[in-house]
Amino acid sequence: MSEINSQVYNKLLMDHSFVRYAQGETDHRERWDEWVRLHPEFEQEVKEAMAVAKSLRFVQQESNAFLLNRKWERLKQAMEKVDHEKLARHLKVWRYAASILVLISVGFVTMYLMERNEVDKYSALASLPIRVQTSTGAPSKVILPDGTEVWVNSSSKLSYPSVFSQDCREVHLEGEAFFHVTKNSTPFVVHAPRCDVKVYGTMFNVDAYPDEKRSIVALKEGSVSITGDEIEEQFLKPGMVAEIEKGMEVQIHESNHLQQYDDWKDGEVSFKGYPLKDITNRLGRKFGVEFVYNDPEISNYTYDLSISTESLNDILELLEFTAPITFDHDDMDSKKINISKK
Amino acid sequence: MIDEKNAWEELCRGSAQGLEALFKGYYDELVNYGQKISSDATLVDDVIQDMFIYLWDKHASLSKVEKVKSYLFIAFKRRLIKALQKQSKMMDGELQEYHGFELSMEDMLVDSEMDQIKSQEVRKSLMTLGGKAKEAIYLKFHVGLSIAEMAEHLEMNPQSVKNLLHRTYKKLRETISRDLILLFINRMVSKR
Repeated sequence: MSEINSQVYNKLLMDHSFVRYAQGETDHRERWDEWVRLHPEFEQEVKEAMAVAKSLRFVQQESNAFLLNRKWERLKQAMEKVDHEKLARHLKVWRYAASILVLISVGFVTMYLMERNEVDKYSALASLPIRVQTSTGAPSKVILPDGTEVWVNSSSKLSYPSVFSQDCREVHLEGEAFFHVTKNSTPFVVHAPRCDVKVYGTMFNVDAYPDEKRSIVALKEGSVSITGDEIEEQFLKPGMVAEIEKGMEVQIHESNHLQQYDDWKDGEVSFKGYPLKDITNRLGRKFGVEFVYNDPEISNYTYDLSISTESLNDILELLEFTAPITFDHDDMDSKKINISKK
Repeated sequence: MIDEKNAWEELCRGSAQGLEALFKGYYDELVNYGQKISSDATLVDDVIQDMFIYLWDKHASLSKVEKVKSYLFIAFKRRLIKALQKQSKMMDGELQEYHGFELSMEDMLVDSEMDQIKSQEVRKSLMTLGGKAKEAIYLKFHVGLSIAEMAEHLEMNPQSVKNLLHRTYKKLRETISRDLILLFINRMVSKR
């Protein structure tokens, strides 16, 4: 075998434009003709690389336009089916939400009847707090005694008195909830980890899980203010988002994508620029699983992701597609999912 | 050539036209590639259909992809291998390893202009290589993937992909050189 400069030979074969040139394509012909002319010392390398590249051409079977169209028609029919199923899935979520509503309303009617029958118990009931605790994967909707609507996200706790006092409507939240507060002259206050939110008749989302670093308040309509042990009262305008982290200044910014903060109540979850750790925290709560990081570095990767009615497996598959990570279970029934770098 | 980036963005916005452009633009290439992994043409076709239905179903959740073609090929390969494993599990209850990438002389383009003997030799030598080397050559010379894309595709690190290609190039060259020497000897003989 004759001695050649294998580095040059390899470089040529690695270069897509050289390969195309060798295979007779014209798009870079002038450039390579010139290169070959300027490097007579590599004549042998070019010759052999060309011979190899020329030999490595593959047959490309092509279906005719008619066949391709038929395949596309078949795909289109399947797509329509998917669209119908999607609609049906959404309806199912709403039916589920509605059934929870009915249950809660039954509770209120019972309470109302109790109040009417036993007047003595009225005062006791008034001070009795009602606790709503959602489990993993089950957001639910609650209507407060003043008509305020609250969507409580999964793994969250909301407590409120069965009858609000005359001078203040106070609720306690640990976790995430979207509020549509009924307007009246009594102030409405949400006590949450790291901050309190004072409300004046409005729609807003509070995202304040105790085990996370920050709380986020997003205002959709009306006006709210943020206060806390270490924070001075600050007012938000519609479209604004406040991020509260312990020991840090409150960050307030405007958002054009406000619905990303509360779309979970329609069964959707979206993350824009979230660290993977926060995403897996949420997924863990939603699906009742635990994520274990084999490499702590991965947990800081940031992602954009939005999900609606996908299964956990679908979501993990999506993440694997777009990120250099893999997920695996210890065994099929395990609630633990390991995350490692690809 | 299709404007894959634009088609992908259209798909993400829920436009069926975006999906149509990607499907029609890459269907043939995916079939050709898939048939080198499995000879079951129906299965290959089904997996392609399923993948595009998946993309349609999840279009709202898809994120931006830089190299759409490479993304589709990788997704397709994973799905095809999964389907093959499922099939073998159903047939004999055992999970079979993916047995690799097959090429035959019929997959090679016959070139009239080129020295037939020389290219035959290179191709014969290609057929004797392992599945990974064959697949690497196919992805590089036919599909046109970059080293980084091939690394993801072959589940190897980029340096190993480079090394694999270098080794393969060397083997393919050896046949040519041998061929040239033979040619030289032949000429010497015929001159006498």
